Amino acid sequence: MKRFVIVLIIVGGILCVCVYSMFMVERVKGEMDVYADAVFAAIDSGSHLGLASGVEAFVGYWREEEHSLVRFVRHSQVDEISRSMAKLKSLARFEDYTQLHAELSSISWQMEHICESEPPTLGNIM
Amino acid sequence: MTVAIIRTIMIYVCIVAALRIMGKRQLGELQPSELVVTILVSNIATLSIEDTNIPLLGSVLPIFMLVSCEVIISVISLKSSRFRRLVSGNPRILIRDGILDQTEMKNLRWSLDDLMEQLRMNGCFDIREVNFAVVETSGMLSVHKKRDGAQGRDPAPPMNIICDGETDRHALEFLGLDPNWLNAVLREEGVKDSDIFLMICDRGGGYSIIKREKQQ
Repeated sequence: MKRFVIVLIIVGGILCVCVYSMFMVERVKGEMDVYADAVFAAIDSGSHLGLASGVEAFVGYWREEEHSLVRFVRHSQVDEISRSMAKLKSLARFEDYTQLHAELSSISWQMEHICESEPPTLGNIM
Repeated sequence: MTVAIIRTIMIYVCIVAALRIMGKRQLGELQPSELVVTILVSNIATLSIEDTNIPLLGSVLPIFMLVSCEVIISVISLKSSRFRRLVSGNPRILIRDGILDQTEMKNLRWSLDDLMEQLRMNGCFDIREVNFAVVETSGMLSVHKKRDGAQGRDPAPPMNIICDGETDRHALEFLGLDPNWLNAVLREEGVKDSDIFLMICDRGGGYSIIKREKQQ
């Protein structure tokens, strides 16, 4: 019975880790959407200063959260986002707004995809 | 490279811990579900070692989940004989009273070569020496040999007729014993079948009872 109790504790721990990972990915996605929206707004308004600070904040936030995400998400998926993030500052600096917009959309889509892959839905399981 | 080495050590520690939780078994005695878990654990463990793109938790959590499932199934199997039969199956009698059951061999998909090999591994080089042969749920063959110079029908090995309070009617029938005889024995001993942990019996009516220990 001692072994059974240990196992129940382990299963409880595993479920907590799974719930925490889903919660964390959702939180990061939510925050990234806010940052991305700020950059989109800066592009639309044509504010160079707003755009530079928005991109800086966005990239800085990703740098902080990337390390937590790699504990739960495949590194290749996180690396894809990091690759896009690396381009943002240069695109903002050289005012290539079309490409910047495209990269931001790509980042949002990839983060959305990671988020949708986490919950235990029938589609994800199959 | 260093990351892969450290992961290897961590996964190794996790597997040892997981196997300790599962409990000790010789490889040849594993039940089907335990064999599946052992194979899966080894395959899952290599994922994180070979590919550092996969988070370490991607191997560790599934390993512990598998082992937890195995322990939970074994606890349920302990409580429910029906569940135990569903998961592990039943032992099958291949040779009964010296007679080979060919239908059973076909059902088990055993060839004569398989049978002879198992008999030899049990130290039996002549099938005529065999009184009873039982294929266990692990796939191994257990052999009961005839006594030297036995006259008439050799006694069958004793069988469990009450396990954990449940009477096995098939075992009673096989031994040619009457349920009324069993009731009379239990009355004589002053016990009910629910009080008995194990009762074994042979064809001659000789029996041995192990009562349930009282929980303190």
